[in-house]
Amino acid sequence: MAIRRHYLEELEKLQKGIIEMGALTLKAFEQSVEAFRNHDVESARFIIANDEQINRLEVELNEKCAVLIAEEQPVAKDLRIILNAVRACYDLERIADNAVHVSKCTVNLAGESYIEPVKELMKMPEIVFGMLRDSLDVYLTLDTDKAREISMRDRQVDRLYRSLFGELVEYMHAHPDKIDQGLAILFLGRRFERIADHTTHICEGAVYTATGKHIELKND
Amino acid sequence: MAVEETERMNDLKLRTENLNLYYGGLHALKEISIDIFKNRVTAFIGPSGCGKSSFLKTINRMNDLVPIAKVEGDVFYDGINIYKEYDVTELRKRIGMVFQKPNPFPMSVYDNIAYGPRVHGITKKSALNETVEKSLKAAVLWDEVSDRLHEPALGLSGGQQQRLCIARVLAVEPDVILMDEPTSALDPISTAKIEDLIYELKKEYTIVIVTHNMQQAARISDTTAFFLIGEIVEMGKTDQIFLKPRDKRTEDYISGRFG
Repeated sequence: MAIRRHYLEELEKLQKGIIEMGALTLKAFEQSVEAFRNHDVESARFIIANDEQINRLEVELNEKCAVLIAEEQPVAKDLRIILNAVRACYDLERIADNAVHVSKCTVNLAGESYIEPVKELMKMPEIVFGMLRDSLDVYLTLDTDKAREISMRDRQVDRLYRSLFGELVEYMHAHPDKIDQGLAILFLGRRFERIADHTTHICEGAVYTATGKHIELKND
Repeated sequence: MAVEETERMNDLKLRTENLNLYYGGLHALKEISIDIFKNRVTAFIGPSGCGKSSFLKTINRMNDLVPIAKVEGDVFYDGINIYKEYDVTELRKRIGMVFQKPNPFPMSVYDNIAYGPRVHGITKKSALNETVEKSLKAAVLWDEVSDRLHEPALGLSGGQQQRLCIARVLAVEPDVILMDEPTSALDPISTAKIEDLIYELKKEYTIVIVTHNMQQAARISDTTAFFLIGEIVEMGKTDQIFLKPRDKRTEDYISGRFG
């Protein structure tokens, strides 16, 4: 017979809340990239305004974690689940902030046609979408093998970023009049690279929840 | 023997080997083989009836008082087999016990503390005065009762009575203190005082505590053992038990999923 039913229900609600926040973050990120691709300033503005919802969720979920710790005094895996929820909230909120930055860039570049290296840039989000989606699965399933596999994709993103960097430097040398957009694209690449890092961090959290061991998948 | 192992053996205070306890037909403790180290707090947790209090009583032979109790296996205290080579009175002087409910004798505060030393032959007034003061101070009770030493102990609050019982144990200069749910009848402030006291006492004594309060075990003990139906499921450093228990049954019990 299961006991502490209320506590277990609250723990489940917390996990559902994180997944809900994850789904909203993923959507914001995907839409921000789509808006950038299509020069869609209206959608970009909508994403910027909508970020407040994700920020609010982060505060609510952190509060829920604090209440669970104070009132239920969780131990062992339950404690790790809650500690990891706090950490995942932080990563998701940072990813959503990055989506806002992508959207601001779309607004700033309104009316400009994109420079050639944007093709290289757009290879990055295609990989990072999958990383974020899969890291949310791993958050719940605690599949440590899958967590490691996702972190391997982070290296691919890092390689793309380095390649974008090189291409942009070359392009800006050749087109000094496009330096402003060149730098904006470079910063976008940096945003995508940071989002990939946050998904790796979510995977590390899943490994900690599953095993109690702190590992750094980035250098694994 | 490696240096580390030698040091470990030097710190060994109590050891049980294949300890079994029967109450008539009931097999209350099954093959318990554990080590308890000096100047540490070792906590025993587990559901009611799992054998943790019975185990505590085997350590100072309290089960000798139960006619149907039968002990098999060995308990070593400082390397000496207490069931074969130890005088029971001397053993209980060395290994004192504090119970769940404070049980002061119906006499004055002073006489409660002086009782044990008197039984062990100390009659000189100055020596007794010194022991009473020292014991009450060690139990962090002196400041509260120094002006009412000759008033009835039963007039003290529950928390004070329990610290008096601890002082009474300290008065006979024990080496090990066994505590059987010492704060279960106390309010949170009295509980906190006893927990602080336990933390201080472990510098001088070895403490073994049975508690139903898992947060208490987590707060005050260095080592925790989880008992279930007469067996030890898992014993380890308290941090490990409460963060990364190895056994699913331990995890379920400390997480409150046991039912």
